Amino acid sequence: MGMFQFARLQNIEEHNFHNVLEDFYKMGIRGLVRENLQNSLDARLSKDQPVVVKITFGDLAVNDIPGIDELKDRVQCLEGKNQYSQATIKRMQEAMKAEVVQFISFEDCNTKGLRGAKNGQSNNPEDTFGVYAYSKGVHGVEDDPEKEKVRGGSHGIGKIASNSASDIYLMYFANCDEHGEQHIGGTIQLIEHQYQQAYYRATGYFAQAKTYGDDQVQKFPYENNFHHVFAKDTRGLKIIVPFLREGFADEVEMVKTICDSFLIAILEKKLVVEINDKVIDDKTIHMYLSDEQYYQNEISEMKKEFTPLYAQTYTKIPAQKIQISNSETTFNFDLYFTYDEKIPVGRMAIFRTVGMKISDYKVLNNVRKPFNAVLIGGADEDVYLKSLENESHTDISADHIKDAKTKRLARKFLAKLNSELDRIIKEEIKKQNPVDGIIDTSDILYTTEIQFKKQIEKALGTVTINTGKKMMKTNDASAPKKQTKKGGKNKKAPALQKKPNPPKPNLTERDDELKKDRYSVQPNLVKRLIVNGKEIIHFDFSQEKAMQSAANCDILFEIIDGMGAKYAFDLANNYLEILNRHTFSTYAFDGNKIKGVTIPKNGIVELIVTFKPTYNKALKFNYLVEV
Amino acid sequence: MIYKKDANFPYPILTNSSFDYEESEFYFDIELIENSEYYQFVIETTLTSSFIKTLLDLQKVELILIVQAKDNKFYPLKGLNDIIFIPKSRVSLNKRTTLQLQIRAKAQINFSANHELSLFYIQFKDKMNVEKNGTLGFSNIITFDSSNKKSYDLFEKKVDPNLLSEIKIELSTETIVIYYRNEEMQFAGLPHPINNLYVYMGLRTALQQFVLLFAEEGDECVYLNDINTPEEGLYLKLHQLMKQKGVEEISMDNLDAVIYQISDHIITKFTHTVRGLEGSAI
Repeated sequence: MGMFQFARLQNIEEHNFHNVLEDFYKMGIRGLVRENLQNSLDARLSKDQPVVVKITFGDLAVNDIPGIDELKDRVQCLEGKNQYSQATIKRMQEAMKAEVVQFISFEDCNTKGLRGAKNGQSNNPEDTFGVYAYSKGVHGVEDDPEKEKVRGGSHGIGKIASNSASDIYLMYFANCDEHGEQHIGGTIQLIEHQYQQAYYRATGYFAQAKTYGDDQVQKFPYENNFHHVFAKDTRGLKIIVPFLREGFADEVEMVKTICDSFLIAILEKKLVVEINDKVIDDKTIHMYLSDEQYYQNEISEMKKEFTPLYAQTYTKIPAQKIQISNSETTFNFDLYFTYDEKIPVGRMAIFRTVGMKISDYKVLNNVRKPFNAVLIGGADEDVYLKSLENESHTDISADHIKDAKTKRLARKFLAKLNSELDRIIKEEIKKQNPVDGIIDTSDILYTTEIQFKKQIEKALGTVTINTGKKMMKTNDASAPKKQTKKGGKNKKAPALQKKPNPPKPNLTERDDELKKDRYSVQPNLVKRLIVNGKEIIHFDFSQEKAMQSAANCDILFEIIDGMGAKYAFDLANNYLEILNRHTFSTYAFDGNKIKGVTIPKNGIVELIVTFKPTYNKALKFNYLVEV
Repeated sequence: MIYKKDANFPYPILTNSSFDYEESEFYFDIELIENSEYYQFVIETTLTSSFIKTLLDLQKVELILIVQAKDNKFYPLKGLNDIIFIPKSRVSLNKRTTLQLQIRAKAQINFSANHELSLFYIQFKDKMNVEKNGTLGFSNIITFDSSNKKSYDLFEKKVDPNLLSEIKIELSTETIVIYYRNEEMQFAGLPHPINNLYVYMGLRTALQQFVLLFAEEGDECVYLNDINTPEEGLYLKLHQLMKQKGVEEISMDNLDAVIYQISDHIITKFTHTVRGLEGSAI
């Protein structure tokens, strides 16, 4: 028996994958993040603390995925009867060949977790574990009716969002309850299939089965002692999606989804989200909203995404109360409303009280009006809005409502909402546009004053010593930026700056090698010249304290381009001979290093280099010394 | 390529931080004028080396402005002080935009006439050559910092139900006033540029008046550099705007060209707005 439970069938009837899988897949990472965060928010434990959701993604060895061997076998047995399912099966089989796959997990804290895991598939609605794990289209009932009203999910298909994000439609959930009991469940969404001479349903449950009588089967979860990616050891739930589909591990898109959908939950300190090392809370969210990497910040260009505007409207403008009636019931909302001529597209965000956005609502006949608004109700309003939501919780409308009377009331409600907003917008326009006054032409008639920064000296980390010459400091950004060349005669400052030695590969090297210090030589101390087919290199170490006590040094070569990028240089490939200009003794070289160069009393080292014909004479260098 | 870091060249180089020359300064400063078509860089250079100055005069080396944004663009200068026009389509100014002057050899340069070199180099000067296209010096770096828009209160609107026409354009001492017979015509609440046609008409009216007032007798053209700056009011604003945008002359024949030069796409913005409204009409 495998670790996944698939119910037996008499024969195969349905040849398609669950249709919602592809619908969710099309929503990409947005759908996945929204569903999981919403579920976590709904399960909030203490009202004094935010729900914290940790999103992690990375690599996972396939062998560490619980029960994977059986799934591999089953996926091999799938047979597609139409083009679409054939393509999906092929994708699954291809994905199964990998040894390492991507995963994403959502771990929540300050949440209840699921109850009654030990009871397994008990069919008791209070055993939320059993309901969550083994049923579709229903959800466990909150014991507090107020909370039940404001919770987000209403279509009972949210769980499948996680399956849809996996190449093989696989997800796990690890639970830790209030008693510290840790269990793990999961599902895989295949199609009805034949496996080892029997027929099975599409859905497999990661569970153990206990059989009663002839054919009564009850499922129980496993105790959680699997790989740490699957571990959940504090109260709450963790969703793990292995085989994460391509393009889903998009951090920018995740951050944006969180800000877009949970703006108010975050601003109201109900939710904190951590993505790998990023933390999005009521303070840091403003940083993301004003970062060009995530959002357009020019108000006049905010034509598709409005979250930075909603944040402004919600935090800066006091709410006004508005009442919208559907002729049977009157609903009370808080409306936050901004009017700003720079806004090119007018939208009203509708939020549930839990702080999750339902819709960027388009007010009829006002989509291009320069306003921005946020609308939030209370518990009753949440219930009503929930009934108007489409399946993916991204808009409200009356179109999907089946009951004729409810539909009529919904239409009335939306018409009232539109006309009330229309009235408010018109009033504001009148207030902001007196018929007599200056016409704002700042977008077409203006002059631009452009400022430049003049960098007088190089922005190098340079220091001046008493001769006015400089040695380059390495790795020091705090050094003074401007120094006049001839000034600073009396200033004392370190002339050579230590550069860390690269780690020595082994300890068998000679002791004196180990003790050498490395310095970068500021280009001012060096003069180079190619004349008569030879290169002369002149080093002036006369003022360098670090060099004064040394009798000799090693000199290292680095190629440098104008932007400061450095490249390796091999002396043997380019140079034939390196000679001391005064003593005519030759120096050995190895790699990019000349060894044992004598430093005379006056500190002036002059080398004469004979180079190969292939040597690129246009190269520019930086030098390092070791003493 | 712009030189941001010092490096050791195989010959002496003139920069603000090297000691290859006894005295070595190579600075430049810029002033910028822009209009809807181009940037106009006014460049002033300070260069200490008379050796290099002579080479420039003899056209053996050239002074090049390098503008580095996404890529590098090169503009040769005619002298130490010059004005370079660059179409806006060719460069973008942002925080990464960096400018530098460099001196580049147009032919092989021998240093024997260079008496400005430091001690070490001077002993070799007769034998020293820099090949064609070699860099002989590079200046300080100038980076774009920020830009500020200054707007002008040029237009006023008024509603007058007793107007004999539907609209009327009038020039007051400070502004161009557009009268509307009814407030519907002001399109309150719709995007601004929908009123741009009125702005265009008003601007043309005011510029016509400018020409009539400031043209010398017998001349149909106003040369902005020659006339006295208007003391105040509407004409001062127009004068400033034209000067800032590089307009040199204005007459009845080039009014539309002047409007194009001093404004930022009045009609294009109008068109986009109308098209946008058409697209979102529901």
